[in-house]
Order: sequence, then C-alpha cells, then structure tokens
Amino acid sequence: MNLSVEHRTIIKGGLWDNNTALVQLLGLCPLLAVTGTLINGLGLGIATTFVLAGSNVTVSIIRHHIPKEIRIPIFVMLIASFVTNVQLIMNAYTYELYLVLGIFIPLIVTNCAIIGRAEAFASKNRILPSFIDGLAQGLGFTAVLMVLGGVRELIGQGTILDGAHLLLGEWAKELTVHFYLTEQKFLFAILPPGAFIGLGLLIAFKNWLHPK
Amino acid sequence: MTEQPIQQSKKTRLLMNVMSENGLILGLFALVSTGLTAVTYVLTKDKIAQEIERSLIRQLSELVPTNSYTNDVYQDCLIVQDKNLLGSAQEQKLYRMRNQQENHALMLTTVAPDGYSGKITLSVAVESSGKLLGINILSHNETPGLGDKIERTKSNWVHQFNNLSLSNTDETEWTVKKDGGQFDALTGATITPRAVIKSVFKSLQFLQSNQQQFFELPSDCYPIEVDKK
Repeated sequence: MNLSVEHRTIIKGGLWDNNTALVQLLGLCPLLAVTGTLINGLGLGIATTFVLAGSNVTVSIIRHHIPKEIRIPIFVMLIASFVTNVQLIMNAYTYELYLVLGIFIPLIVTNCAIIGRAEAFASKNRILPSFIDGLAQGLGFTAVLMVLGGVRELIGQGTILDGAHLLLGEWAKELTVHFYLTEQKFLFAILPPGAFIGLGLLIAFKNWLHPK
Repeated sequence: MTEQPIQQSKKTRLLMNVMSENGLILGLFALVSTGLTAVTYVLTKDKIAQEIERSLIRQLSELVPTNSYTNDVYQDCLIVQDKNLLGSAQEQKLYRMRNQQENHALMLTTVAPDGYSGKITLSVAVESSGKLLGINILSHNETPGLGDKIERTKSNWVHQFNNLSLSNTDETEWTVKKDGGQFDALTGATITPRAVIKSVFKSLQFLQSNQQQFFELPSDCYPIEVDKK
C-alpha cells in the first residue's frame, strides 16, 4: 500500500483516533436505535458509509462556490437530497436490500456525523482526501455499530449474526450461531437502555486503552 | 451629524447586496437539489410500484398456493376503502384468485390502527367459502422480542387464524383468551395480538358483506406491467 502520510492519518483518525461514535460522539441517534443485532448494525453502517463518502465528495467539489454564511443550509440541502436519491434508487433497483436497510436510510438524515464531516473536513479539503475521510469515518462508525450490535444480540437473544440472510442472501442462514436458546429474550440488552450502557462501556474501554 | 445616516444607508445597501446574493445562491442550490430528487423520483416511480407489487404477490404465495388458481392475480384486483372495517380511510387492495371460471379466494390488505406502537399493516387471505387461508404481517413497529412475534418468521402465532371463518366461530371468540376469546396472546404483549385479531375479524366481516360483488366487479387497480421471471 502506497499511502501518503496525510492519507494514513485520515484513515487512522476515522477508524480509531477520531472515531465518530467513540470520540466525536456523533450519530448516536441512529446508533442507539438500530444496534439490536450485528446485522442491523452492519446494514446501517454500509448505508452511512456510502452517504458519508458521497456527501464528502460533493461538498468538496463545490467548496469554493459556497459563501461562508450560508454553508450550513446548503450542506443540509445537499445531504437531504443525496439521502433521498439513494433511498429512491435502492428502493427501485435493490428492493430486497431496501426492505432490510430501508428503515435505516431516513435515519441517516438524523446522523449529525455527516454534516459534521462536511463542515469540519470536506469543506476545507481536496476531493480525494475528502473521499478517504468519508470512507474511513464511515467504516469506523460501522465497526462500532457491529461490535455494539453483536454484544447486544449475544446478551439479549443468545445468537450472533441472526438475520444474516436478509443482508447477504439465503446462503448466509448458515452463518447464524446460537450460543444459548431462550424463550424469553433478555430485553434489557435489546431495548434502548442496553444500547446506552453498551456504548458507555465501549467508550470507557477505548479511553482505558488510550488515555487522553 | 449628517454623515451618519449616509454611512448607515451605505452599510444597509452593502448588507442587502450580500443578502440577496446569498439568497440567490441558496435558492439555486435548493432548485438543483430538489430538481435532482424530482427527476430521480419520476425515473424510479414505476419501478418502485412494480417491486412493491411483486413482493406482495410473493407474500401471497405463502398464504394461497400458486397452483390453486389460474388467473393473473397481478391484473385482477380492486381498490377498496372502508374506514370502519379496514382500520383507516386509506385505499386498500383486494386481489382475486380464480380457478378457471370458479371463484377461489380473496386477499385483502388492511390496517390494524391500534397496535402497541402504532399501525400494523397486514394481508388477509380468505377462501370463497369464507374460510381463512392465513394472514401475513406486512409492516409494524411492535417491541422486538415481544410484540414482533406476530411475524410469520418469528413465531407460530399467526397460524392460529388458519381455517377459521365467521361461520365456525362466534364473535366473542375473536379476542385473546384473557378477554374470553379463543386466541393465545403473546407473552408480555397483549395489545398487539388484540389489535391484529380485531383487524382480521373486521376484514372477514368486510369480505363477507359483499363477497359476490367483490368477485364480479371489473378490475380497477391500475394494472402494472410486471415481467414474470
């Protein structure tokens, strides 16, 4: 891999040092809402990464043509129309995936990480770094979503990768691992309190590994 | 003293210039982004309608075996509306299945308006004899792990409806056991089953009220071209 130092810093920042969910604490609304299972987390992660990279590139392209005073409303408009377009296109051409990710896509609009990256990074940087930043931030967010989803799923219903076939196709039914079977799910982990506490523990873990 | 008003008006003019320029740019962006979305909407509208139709038909095959009817269900349906019996003033679809010339079954989409977390949409398939072939939950927001067991993939709860009809049950039986009816509730969720049971019962009433007519009326839901692969 021949990455310049600049790009490497951006990637490391997105994945770990400046992680959206663990450090910037952005995008918590969709994060807390959907991380009931690992696959749900992965789904929202993919959709968010896609929108982040796309909106970062778009903002970077037009960054010289936007007056400073009205940049925020313009970003909001761009992101909203970007998300709506993605939703319509997915609905039309990847219907099965849309049925699974469909509920996540409007949730992306509530993700302030997108406008956060547009404002903090893409509006000041060239197109390629902006694209890399969007991708790295998105993947970092996805990783947290998957870990949190996985832990909540394991504690809550005793499985890992439940519902994988919804995202990956029929063959993925085999992927589901049952650790223990319960008639009654451990609702505390599945409902929002489990998400808050799980995220808190993840943040604590990161801060313990790398004290500021 | 006379200088100040002049300066003031200069400032105002400058501010006005910046404001109108920014307003123009903002308007332009609004126009472009809304325009793009509108174009995408128009381009994808028919395809989306097709996909929704196709998935509904796929779900239909879970309730009514595809080899039990011979007509083209995609093209044979009615738009129906009934605020009291179908849960909302929304237009619903009624698909008709026929075996040769014989009326075989009807499938109705409907809404249970009083779920634990809002509306539950479902489809109800009924044989021409009035016997329930089954129901399918199409969308809902019920609590995961509790109310979501109404989904076919999550528990056997929906199977309780199979083979019931208005003639082999009494109205009082159409509720959960707790309320004196014949249906099992779900552990930890009573409101959800109550809503679904009520909605299914009303659908049966709706279908029975005009069954003959429902089979005879000319198809009036805008047929969409669907390539059947």
